[in-house]
Amino acid sequence: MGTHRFIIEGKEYKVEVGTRLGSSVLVTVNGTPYSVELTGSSALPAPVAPAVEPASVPRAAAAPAATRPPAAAGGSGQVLAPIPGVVLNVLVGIGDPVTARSKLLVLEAMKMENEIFAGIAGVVTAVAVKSQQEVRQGDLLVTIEPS
Amino acid sequence: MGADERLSELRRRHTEAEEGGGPARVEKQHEAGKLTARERLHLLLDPGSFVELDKFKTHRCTDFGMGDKKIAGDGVVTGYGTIDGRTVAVFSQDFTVFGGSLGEAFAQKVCKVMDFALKQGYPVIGLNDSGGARIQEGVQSLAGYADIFLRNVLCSGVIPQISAIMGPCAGGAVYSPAMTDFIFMVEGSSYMFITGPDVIRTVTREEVTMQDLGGALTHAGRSGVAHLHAPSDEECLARIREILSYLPENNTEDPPVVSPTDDPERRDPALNDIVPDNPNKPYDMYEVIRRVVDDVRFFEIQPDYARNMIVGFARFNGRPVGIVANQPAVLAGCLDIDSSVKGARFVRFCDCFNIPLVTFVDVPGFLPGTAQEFGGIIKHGAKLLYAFCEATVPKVTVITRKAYGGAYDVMSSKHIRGDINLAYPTAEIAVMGPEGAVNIVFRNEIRAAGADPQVREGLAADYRRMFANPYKAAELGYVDDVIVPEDTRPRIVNALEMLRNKRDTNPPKKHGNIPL
Repeated sequence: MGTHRFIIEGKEYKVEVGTRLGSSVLVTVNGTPYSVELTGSSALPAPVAPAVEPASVPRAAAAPAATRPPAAAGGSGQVLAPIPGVVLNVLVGIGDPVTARSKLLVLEAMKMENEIFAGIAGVVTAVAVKSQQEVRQGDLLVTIEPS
Repeated sequence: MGADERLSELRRRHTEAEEGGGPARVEKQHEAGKLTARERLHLLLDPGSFVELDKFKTHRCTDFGMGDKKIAGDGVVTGYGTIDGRTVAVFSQDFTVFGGSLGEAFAQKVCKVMDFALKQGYPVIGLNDSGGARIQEGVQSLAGYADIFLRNVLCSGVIPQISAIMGPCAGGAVYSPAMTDFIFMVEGSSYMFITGPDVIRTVTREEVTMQDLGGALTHAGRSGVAHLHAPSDEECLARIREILSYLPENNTEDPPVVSPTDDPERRDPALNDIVPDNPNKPYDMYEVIRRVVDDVRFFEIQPDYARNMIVGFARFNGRPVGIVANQPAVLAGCLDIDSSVKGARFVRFCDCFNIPLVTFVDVPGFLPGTAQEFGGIIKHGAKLLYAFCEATVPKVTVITRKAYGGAYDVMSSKHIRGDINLAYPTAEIAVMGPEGAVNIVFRNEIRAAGADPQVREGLAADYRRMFANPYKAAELGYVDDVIVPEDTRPRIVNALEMLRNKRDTNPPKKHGNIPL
């Protein structure tokens, strides 16, 4: 349903939005195809609705640049890197119950061993980083299923 | 008409005005978890102190059938009263009357109490709960907003202005609270935005809920627009009463002194080991603050925003101060865009209202990165520097650990008119950290040594011994003393006492040009 060009932080992304099939649509970003699930706008009548919320396109478009897990927009259960740095050690594993004050990992940045806390209570469902891994600001560190 | 009739007529009119939009609308207000305009004032002010003005004022609009729709008071309750015995001007928007919408008469009432407050020199508190402009009144409504905006600016720096958002506050209406000193928001029932979710959906096709866009938690944590949030109207109003206990009535007065209940000579040995031996280990700066202020009481401002910088009010020996502190437990305590702006605005507020500043420093520097540089960290960091330079109130600084590079200068250093600057023995006051410094100073030696890491580590250790301490700065008089941490409280109390008669001025000018 059209070709769009976005310039994000100086880099150009060519985004082709394909035909919508049910709730999914094929979006091609700089030649790499992504299947995008529509959530928010799918309730709207199809002809009026934009095939893809533009807000979600840059996020998909940014993905090719990063080989690591994409920076999550910040669901309550996703703990993101607040600062770029190196993971020193991971203190939790999948299945571990945590409280809001639980320490998840230590992230060295600005010559400081920054302690990263859970922020919410729940159970760890994914650990996206390992020791000595470099992370950028906004990278997903740990996913917590809120209890 | 006899005297009895005249009095009963007066009573009837009072009752009518006090009923606002009527029982049905009041019930709806309560169902939404909100108090009415009058209930809020009742809780905010000392019992029985409220004196209402313009209770019978009505609008003059005749368009769109408004001529026969008049409610005494016109949607806002205004007047003055006392909080802890000190006078404040208040206006409380009444959502039950025309949705709290603002027209000419409404604005005139608000302006009247603001003018009173400015002339007599006491704080003004606005409780906002309004659907926005009264469309039927057209451009007169816009004029009303502008009249209020102007007064917000004229009052700025003369009297404290406090806003509570206790319902809708959207569009141009946000700019009156935005220009006041502190914005309080009630969780769940309040929101603030320039354009709402419907307009956003049309223009940018983003889907966002009212609360995600402009709720209390969004503005307290993400945008930094709100300074405090509270779970209920009652709690919000109690917090406003509390903040006023730290503030003077106007810029010519000193903040209120309470009789001290905490020993000014109290020493706290726990402070001696609060800073970890390893400079890479974080610690909690709140711990330092709580241990030194009166009665462990710290009234924090913007606790959920830019948490690498802590700001708020406390007392030393009964006298209010503004506390500014780096927080090494968050983002290593570095200065970034948000923390600089947060700190700068708070410093300027304190300077406006004669509130001494006590600054705790543990700052590794400014946060590196393209996001910061492209976001304008240069101009935003400059705001904090500007604010500290400009401030003429007593300034006491305690360096607990790192004070590196330009960030050292910024954080109320001696060079920018810090009055008393103290350092812990753990302080590291230097142009940069050892690792970075040796790479520059000993570039050739390190290159000659090739890949041998021991050479670099040895040089870094030498540098640390030589420069990563408070004594170089003390030798130069850049810190006035190196203190035993357990003496922090007595030393701060003593410094503030010594500085009580401080007089300092800036050169005459219309106003400075802070890098906005």
